[in-house]
Amino acid sequence: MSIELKPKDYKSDIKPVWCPGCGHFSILSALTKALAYLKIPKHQIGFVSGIGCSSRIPAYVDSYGFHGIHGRGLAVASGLKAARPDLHVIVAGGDGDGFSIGGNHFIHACRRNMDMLYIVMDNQVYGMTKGQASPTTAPDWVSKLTPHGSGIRPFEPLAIALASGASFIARGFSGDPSSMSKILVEALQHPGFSFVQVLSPCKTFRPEQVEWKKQVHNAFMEPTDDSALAAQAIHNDDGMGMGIVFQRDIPIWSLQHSDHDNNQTSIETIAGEFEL
Amino acid sequence: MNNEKLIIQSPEHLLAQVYAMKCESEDRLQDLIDSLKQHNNSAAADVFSRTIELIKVSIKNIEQRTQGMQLPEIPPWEAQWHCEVQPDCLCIENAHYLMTPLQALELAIFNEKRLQEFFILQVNKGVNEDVRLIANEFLIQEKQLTVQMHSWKEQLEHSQTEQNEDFDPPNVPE
Repeated sequence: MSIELKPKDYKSDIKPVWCPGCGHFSILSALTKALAYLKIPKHQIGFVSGIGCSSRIPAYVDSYGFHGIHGRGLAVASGLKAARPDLHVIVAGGDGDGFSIGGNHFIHACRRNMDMLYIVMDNQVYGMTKGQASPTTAPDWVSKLTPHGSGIRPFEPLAIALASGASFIARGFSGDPSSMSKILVEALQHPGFSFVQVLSPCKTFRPEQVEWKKQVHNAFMEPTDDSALAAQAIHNDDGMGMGIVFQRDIPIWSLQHSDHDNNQTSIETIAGEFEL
Repeated sequence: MNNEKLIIQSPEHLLAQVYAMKCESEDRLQDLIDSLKQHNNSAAADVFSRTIELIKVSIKNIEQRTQGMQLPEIPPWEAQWHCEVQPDCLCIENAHYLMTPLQALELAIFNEKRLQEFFILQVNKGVNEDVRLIANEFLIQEKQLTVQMHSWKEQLEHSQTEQNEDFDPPNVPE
């Protein structure tokens, strides 16, 4: 007999240490709603992260989890998915973790198109280390550490995901958790690499982001499977457009595509091939 | 969402939505209480601990009322709110680790008022008589809670509360 789980049932007993007012609470809420809606059993979820405020999230979800090393959430998750294709693999992290030190893994995870969900909780700042500019920070954001701004153009996550071959690309906002949970449901159901950028205000280090609530808008009304149209939509986007911009069914990479059949090949057999 | 789309058509839908809303509020409020305690602001956490007790009573009441009823499952994105976040769920971005108990209570009252607006809409514009009656019952209960919160507010206004200060402040523009 299966027991119907409520969103709250997907939360662990560990209390989040995020700051009061942090947008990440809403992402946790939206994710648990999406998991409950899809009735995904807890033991079929593998939740992986890197390092940062957002990367604490696997501890707050009552599933299998791995709090990895900085920028390597996607690498760990790829290994997990290769070994256990039956699991729903979810990866989460922040803009620093995912686009700076983990930027290369991001590109290749998009290209590889393994069946997993990658959520980047983007607050445009390194919050855990007290407010340095991150890859998505605007060049003119002035802080004590960057008194004249960083002067560097921000990383464009949606454009890079599209150019790198991601098969599902969306943006959500933590201030609208209901719409976000719908995006996450679609992303979890999509066969392939689903990338969801979630704008998540950092109340402590970027208090001005409270204004995002007035700036976000529905932009990508219907997802397209045409990469040229998606590129155009992203080009016209002001960075605050919400919705699913691109979705296409393309072949998923799994171990079955390699020389090894993951159901038949043991670790010992693989290791044996490398013996000198 | 226009007003027409916000009108709930059946008592079951209203009860399901209010129940989901109250459960979510309890959950989110508990997160905030825990977070405030983690940040050594137990004074503000205490205010929310008082309001969460009121929500727990509401949840029990709805559970008793709906015993034996088959309530519809409403996906979160189909909820008929007049705002992105459900009406009585804290506008999370308005919370802060330095918030005073008075600010905490003002936020709780603000959310309470938003919830009342939701019920007022159902009472005034509803087309189903049962929905209007139940919504009115909820509205009366919520108004009583607001009176209680205002009396707490008066007590707080009379007590001396200082603005909280962080001696190692975040690196934000001056």
